[in-house]
Amino acid sequence: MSFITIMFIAGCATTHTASPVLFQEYSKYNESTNKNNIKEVANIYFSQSLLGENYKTNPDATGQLLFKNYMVAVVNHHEQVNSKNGCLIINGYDEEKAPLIFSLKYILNNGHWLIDEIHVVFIESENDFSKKAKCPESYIN
Amino acid sequence: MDLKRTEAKITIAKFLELAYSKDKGMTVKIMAKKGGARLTIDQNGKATLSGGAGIVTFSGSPVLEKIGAKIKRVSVSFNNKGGMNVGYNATFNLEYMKLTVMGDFNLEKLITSCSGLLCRAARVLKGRHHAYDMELQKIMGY
Repeated sequence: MSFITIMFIAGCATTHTASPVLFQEYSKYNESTNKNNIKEVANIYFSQSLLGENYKTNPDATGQLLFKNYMVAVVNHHEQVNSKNGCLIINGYDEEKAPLIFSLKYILNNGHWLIDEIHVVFIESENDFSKKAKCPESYIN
Repeated sequence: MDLKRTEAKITIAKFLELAYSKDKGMTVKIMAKKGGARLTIDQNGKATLSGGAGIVTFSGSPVLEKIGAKIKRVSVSFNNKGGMNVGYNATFNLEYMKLTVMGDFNLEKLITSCSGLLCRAARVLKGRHHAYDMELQKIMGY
């Protein structure tokens, strides 16, 4: 196997975890959104495929787009990205001090990272906290 | 926020209660058989409980209607580890997000709760009894 072939394969498999770009994006969403503005700013943080056509009139949209409210304390986070998409795991606790995980898929759209899938996982103990980045499909039963 | 952890767990118990009220014998056979079983409910309320022992179809609408948010699909995998201990992993597909809850429960306790005085009293009241919900909450592992 040539050196170029090896480098190509290694390049395809590489995930970038050093710079927490997705968690920074999540933090912006977390700090900037509330029940009064979420529908107005949703397209800054969420993909068109997640939002669909009628989110501004859908009564379920506000609560679910503010999924951040499920978590009141962040323990840690893991992410992996490639040139088109990425996945972010956030381990934390809910308001009852029970552990939970956010598993988010992001896509890169015109230079902006947008949340494309949201999966909230209520786990039974801290032992189930994810120790690495995983995409939402990992949690489908 | 929409569906919460506790509400999601109680919802699973109530779906099982509906299956049980439709076909007690088959529901118990499916759930008591060691190994896996599966429960799915679509957005129209069509519910199917299936496993190695057979299948039960029923309407999940009475439970779906009680949930505040619109549900596109619920999928639950059960794992009977032997005896009466059943593990579960349930995913609720909502409009904009998915939500997964997991735990385990004692099948005998769940069945007893639904055929016992508490359950009958709740039915007589034609609504949900807070004490009954609390009982289900305890059984479902939280």
